[in-house]
Amino acid sequence: MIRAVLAIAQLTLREALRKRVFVNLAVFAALMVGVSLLMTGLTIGQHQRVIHSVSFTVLAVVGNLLAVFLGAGLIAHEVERRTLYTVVSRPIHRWVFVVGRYLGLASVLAINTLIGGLLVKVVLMISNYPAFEHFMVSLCLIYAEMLIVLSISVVFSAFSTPTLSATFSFCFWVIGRLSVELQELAVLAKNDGLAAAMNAAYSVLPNLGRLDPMNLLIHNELPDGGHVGMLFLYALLYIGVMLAAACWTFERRDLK
Amino acid sequence: MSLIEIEGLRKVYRSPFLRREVVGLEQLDLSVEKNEIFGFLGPNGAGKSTTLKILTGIIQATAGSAKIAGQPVGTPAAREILGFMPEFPTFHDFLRAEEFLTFYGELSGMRREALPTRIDEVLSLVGLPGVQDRPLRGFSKGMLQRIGLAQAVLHDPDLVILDEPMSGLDPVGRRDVRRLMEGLKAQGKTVLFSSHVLNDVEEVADRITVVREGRNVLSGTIESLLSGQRFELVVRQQPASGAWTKTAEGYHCYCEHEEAAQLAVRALSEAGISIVRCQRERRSLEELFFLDVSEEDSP
Repeated sequence: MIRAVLAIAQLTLREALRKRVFVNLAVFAALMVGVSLLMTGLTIGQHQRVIHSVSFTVLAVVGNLLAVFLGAGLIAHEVERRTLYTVVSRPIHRWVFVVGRYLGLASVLAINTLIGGLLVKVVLMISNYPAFEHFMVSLCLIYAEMLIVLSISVVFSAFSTPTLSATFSFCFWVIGRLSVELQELAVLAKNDGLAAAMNAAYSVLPNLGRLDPMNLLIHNELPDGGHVGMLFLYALLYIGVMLAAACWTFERRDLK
Repeated sequence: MSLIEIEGLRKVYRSPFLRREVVGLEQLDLSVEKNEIFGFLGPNGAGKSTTLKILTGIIQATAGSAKIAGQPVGTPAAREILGFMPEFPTFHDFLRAEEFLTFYGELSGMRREALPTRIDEVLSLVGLPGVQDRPLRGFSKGMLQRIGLAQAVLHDPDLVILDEPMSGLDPVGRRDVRRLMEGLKAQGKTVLFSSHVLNDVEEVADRITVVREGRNVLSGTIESLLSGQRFELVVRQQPASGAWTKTAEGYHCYCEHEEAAQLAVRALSEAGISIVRCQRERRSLEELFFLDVSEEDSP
C-alpha cells in the first residue's frame, strides 16, 4: 500500500511540474523585487519589516490559493475526466488514492514555499538586510496553514465538482482566517443560542488566524516552544480529521 | 466455482437533490467460467457498462451479489486478479508511455525491476513497440485504445474485463484486439468484454449473454445460439414439387425440422436428384440480435 501511495504522490508531483504550476513563483519573484524597490523609496527605517511582511503575505496568499484550486481538482477532476476508472479498478483501497494525491500536492506546496522563502532571502540579501530571526518558523506556519486549507479542499473534492469544491474551500479559508472574531462575537452576543452557535462554529472551523506569522513579526519574539508545538499539533490533528472524512466519503462514492 | 458469479444484481442511480431514480440494472444473473471468452451484448443503456463498473469497483450495487473468484466485488481482494479497460479510456496524458505503465505496474504491486521488460513486452503485444518515450498527449484515439489494453494486461491478470474494446479501432486494430483476446485465452486467462460489433463477438466469443433493460434475455454458447432449427437443402436440378428457389449454387429450400429434412433427402435421392448440401441453418449473431429486438418490441 505504501508503494501505491508513493506512486500516486509521485504522479501528482509530476503533473504539477509538467503543467507548470510553479510558474506562480515567477510572479512571486517579480512582486517581491518590485515591492522591495518600491518600499525602499517609501518607508523610513522599516524596510526590512515591510519586505518581510509583504513577502509573507504574498507567499501565504499564493500558496493558499494554490491549495484551494489544486486541492479542489485533486479528486473531482479525476472523476470528471474518468481517469480514475483504471486506478480504482486496481487492488488498492480508495483511501490510498486520496492520501497519495494529498501527499503529492503537499510536496508541491512544500517546494513552492521553500523556493518562495529562498527568493525572499535573496531579495533581503540584495537589499543588505538580515533575515528576520524567526524566518523558518514563519515559513513553517505558512506551510501548515496551506496544508489545512488543502485538506479542507480535498474533503469537498471527494464529493463535489471542482468549481463547487474551490468555492467552498475558498470560503472556509477566509472564514478560518477570521474565526477568532467568532469567539469574540460570541462573548458580545446577547442571545445564548447565538453565542452557543458561534462558539460551536469557532470550534469546528479551522483557526487559521493563529498560524499567521505576522504575530511573530510584530512582536519579534517566539512564544515558548510549547505554544508553537501546540500550533503544529493542532494543524496535524485538523488535517488528520479532514483526510479521514475525505477518505470515508470517497470510499462510498459512485464514480459515474 | 465460476470465476465471476452474479446473482440478482440491481443498480438504481439516485440523484441526491432531484430525488430522481434511474434503474441501471433490474435483475442480472450471470456466471463466467475460467478460461473462456465471454461476450456481453445489448443495446445502449441496457446495463452493460453498469455491470462492468460494479465488477471493477467503480460503482456499488444497490442489491444482489457479485463475486470474482469467490471474493465480493468492491474489495481489493476481488481486484487482485483483474485487469480492466473502460469504454473511451482517458488517461493522465502528461505522462510518457513508459511512465504511464510504470505507474499502473506499481499500483498492481509489480516488482520494480521486472517492469521495464514487461512494459516492452506488452507494448509489442498491443502493437505499440518503441513508443516508451512518447507522451500520451500525442497519441491518436486508436493508440490510446491500445495503451489502455496494455495497462489492462500489464500485470498478467487471470481475468481481463474490456468495455467496448473495439470501439474507435480500424479493421486492423479490431483484428489485433481479437487476436489479443484469443492469445489471452490460450494462456489460460478469462476475458469478459462488451461490444456493439456483433461480427467481432461472433468470431471470438465462446459464450455470450444479451442484456436488455437491465435483465438477461439470451444466454448460451455461440454454437447453441446460432444453430437454427431449420435445415437448408441445396440441389443441382429443380425438383418437381416443393418451394425451391434458384440460386447460383442451384436450387435451395428450407425444411422446418430434422425429420422433414431426412424425408426430403430420401425422396430426392430416389428421384435421382443430386444433393449439393443439407445442413442445419446457421444464423449470424446480428440476425439473432435483431430477431430478439423485434420479439421484444412486438406488442
